[in-house]
Amino acid sequence: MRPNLWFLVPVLILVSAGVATWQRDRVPTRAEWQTAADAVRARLQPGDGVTWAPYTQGEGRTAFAGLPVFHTRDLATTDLARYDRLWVLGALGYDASRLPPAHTLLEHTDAGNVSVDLVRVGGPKVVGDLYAHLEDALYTRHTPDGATKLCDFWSGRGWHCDLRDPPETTRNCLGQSVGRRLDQRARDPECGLNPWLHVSRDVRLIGDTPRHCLWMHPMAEAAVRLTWNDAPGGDTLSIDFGFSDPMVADNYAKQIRVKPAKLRVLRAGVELQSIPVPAEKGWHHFETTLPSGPAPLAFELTTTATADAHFCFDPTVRVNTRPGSTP
Amino acid sequence: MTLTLPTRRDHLIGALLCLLTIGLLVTTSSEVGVPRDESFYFFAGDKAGDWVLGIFDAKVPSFSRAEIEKGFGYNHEHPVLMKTLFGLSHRILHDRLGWVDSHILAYRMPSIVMAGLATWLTYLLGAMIAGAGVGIVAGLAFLFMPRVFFHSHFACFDGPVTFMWVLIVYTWLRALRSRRWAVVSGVALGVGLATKLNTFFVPFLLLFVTLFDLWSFKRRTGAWKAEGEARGPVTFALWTAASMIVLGTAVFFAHWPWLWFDTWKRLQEYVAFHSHHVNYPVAYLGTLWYDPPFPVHFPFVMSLTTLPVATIVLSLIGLGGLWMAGWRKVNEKQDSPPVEVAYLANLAVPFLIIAMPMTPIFGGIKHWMTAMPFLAVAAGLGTERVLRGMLGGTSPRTWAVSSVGALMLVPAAQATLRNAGYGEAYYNELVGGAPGAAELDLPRNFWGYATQGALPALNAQAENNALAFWHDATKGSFDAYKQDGLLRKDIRYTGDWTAAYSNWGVYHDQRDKFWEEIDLWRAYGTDFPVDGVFYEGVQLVGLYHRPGAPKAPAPLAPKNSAPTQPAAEGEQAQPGEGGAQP
Repeated sequence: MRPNLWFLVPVLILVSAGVATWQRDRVPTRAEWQTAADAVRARLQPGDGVTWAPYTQGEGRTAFAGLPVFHTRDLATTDLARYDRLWVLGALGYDASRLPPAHTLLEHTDAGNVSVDLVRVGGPKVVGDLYAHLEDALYTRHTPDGATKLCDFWSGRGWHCDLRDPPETTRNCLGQSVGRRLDQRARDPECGLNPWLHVSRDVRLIGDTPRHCLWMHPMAEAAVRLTWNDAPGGDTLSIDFGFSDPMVADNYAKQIRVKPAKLRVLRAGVELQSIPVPAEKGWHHFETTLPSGPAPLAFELTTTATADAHFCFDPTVRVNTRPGSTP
Repeated sequence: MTLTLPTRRDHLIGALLCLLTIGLLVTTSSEVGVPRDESFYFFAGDKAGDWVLGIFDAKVPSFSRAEIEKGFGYNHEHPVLMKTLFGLSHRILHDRLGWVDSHILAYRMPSIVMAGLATWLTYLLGAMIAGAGVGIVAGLAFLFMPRVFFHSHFACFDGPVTFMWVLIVYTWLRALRSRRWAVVSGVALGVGLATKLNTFFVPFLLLFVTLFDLWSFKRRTGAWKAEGEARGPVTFALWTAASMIVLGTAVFFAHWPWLWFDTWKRLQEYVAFHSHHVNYPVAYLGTLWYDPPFPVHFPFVMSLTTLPVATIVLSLIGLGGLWMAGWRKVNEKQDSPPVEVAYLANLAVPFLIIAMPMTPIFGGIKHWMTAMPFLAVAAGLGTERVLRGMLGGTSPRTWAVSSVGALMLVPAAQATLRNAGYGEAYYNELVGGAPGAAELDLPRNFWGYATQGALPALNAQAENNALAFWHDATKGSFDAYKQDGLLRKDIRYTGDWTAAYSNWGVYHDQRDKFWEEIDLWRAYGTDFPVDGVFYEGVQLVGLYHRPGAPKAPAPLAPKNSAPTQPAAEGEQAQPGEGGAQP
């Protein structure tokens, strides 16, 4: 007897309903994320990093306050050189197995629908981090007429030039309550600081992912330079950089005004490399071998157009072999 | 398929489905937040409603230019039928009679009633061609489409225009062989035009079907006109066309006092606004779309991923049946109106309009929601076909079709009612639900509607007189929540672009606005929300709190500010190099 294929329709609908239920049931609850985050918090060590996957499972973020959590959309290509150990909180089939083989899984536990993986990070290790030591860097501007200006006002996040008011007045303004700042927003939104032309610790959307990086807006009128006098010695200098996404790609075509820039890297005053910065979406990576021994590093940015050049970068000095690991 | 006129029983069933729809929408309205547009229409609605009520006040010169501009000047880019009904509903049901406690629900009642009527008409469309069983399944399939159900709550135009579209088609179907209905169809078109611009396309679509009807008649009888005194399709088509042109236009102009002055200029403004509508960005399959050409497959993929699987399967089967029936009718020269062509065209055209590469694609499924009643009828037909197949070719009874259809739509009903407040985030299992859709970078948010879910946490945690940055939701929605007692009165609204001047941030997750979430991180010094609205683990709203009061930065002198980098030989000379001058 030939089977009646019409019976497959209700069966298919029933199966799809079952699949939908299964899909919903494997989504972690907020309590499960909290339990996993607490487990990490209890055993956190200096040098640990934390991340979660998949990135779109945002509910876990409510449990992450105070943890050294970083953003990644793709575990396989994530730069882990800042960390000794990594905690991966995974859900929906994502876990540390998506990391490259250079890293070693130490532990895997489950907290309901969240898995907690502890990984020993392999590969290069950051030994010098300008983002962490911005207070020690010098921000200068160099105009074509030969003048050099040191931007020496520290705002709490970065270095500024061209204050409208005396430094103390500006500091007091920045320390006002949020309500006061809102009240004066129309006439004095930034306490007299230039909101764009400075060098600061920042977080920007670049290459579809938030990046904690150093904001350094180039200027058409002057070369802007960030000098890292205390840069340590290491095997390589690594620089990740880019313009923020809405300025170069994710926007109406008629609103995109950014022009390419150039990033010169100097070591002890000598040009190490000149890196073109394309006016394109992406978190670009540059790496170069460093001569042995510590020496000041400087990063000089130039452009032909100031408008919307929301540049951000993350320079680090790295060693290729981690202490204690086999070369 | 022949067109059977609806009986009293049909209207009774339709009315019951209508009441069921209204009841479910009213019950779930409190779960549905206020999106940007709706907050504008609340305001515009009150103004329009007050103008109408002013007609009954002898002291108000309602028909003066000044009064009309006061009543209809705000948001004059859209016709005013629905806004007037929203305002009247609010003023009467809430303010005067007190029958509806919630201001928001009072504004929404006209849309909700029209959604009920749309279900009624969807039932009739099914019942008229294939019996009550198909009609019931069609009505239920339409009611239990999560996104359609979600949009049907709003005091906006998308739900009402869906009803209007079906109403025009229904009256046109009746007018195929009735002069009385031809007159009604003209009024229906006018009312449709008074609701939203979408209905502008309906007469052209129906003209195409009418020409097909005339061609079929000629092919069947050898003549364009009916014999003797009998009235043929040409006569009815001319009546309908005349009615739509005359009455449709008259109703449109009559309903909109704004057009009574500077008519030509304002009409031009109206047309220009819509023909040059801004393209709001949409995330779709990994790309943020800002400018045309937009992907042709957008409405098809979005429908395949946001309609319940049962509805998709049944409607695809039904569509096949509809196509075959239409084909047979042409081949066999059957003597009946081309209802199959009418249904298929009404299903296809809203999709095709959005699929055109230059048509803006923001807003998602609501912009082709007018196709959904016809898709639902196809689901009804599909159910009947499946059951007939299961019974080995025997035609199933009405109760069997409706019962089996209802059973197969249980998952759709669950999905619809479970997601009533967040229907825009619903994705079916074909893409792995909302988490799968997020991985595919499909949109799940819509102009600040999801705020409502974050209000309890904000009310519970915010300090007195907290300053809240409302992000993509409007001040109008902020005020509406306060008016309904959903948001604490002391919480203050900081305005647009005020992340840095707030203590609380209510971020609405949309990919094109991600950088605004990052503005909050920068301002508050934390990347992590304290609470929020999460749908299957995916963020719809992130609720952020500034961890502490701002502190004045400590003075810091630059370290090693003396020149340390003498220009080396061979270095490309840069003016000003060689020493920083403090």
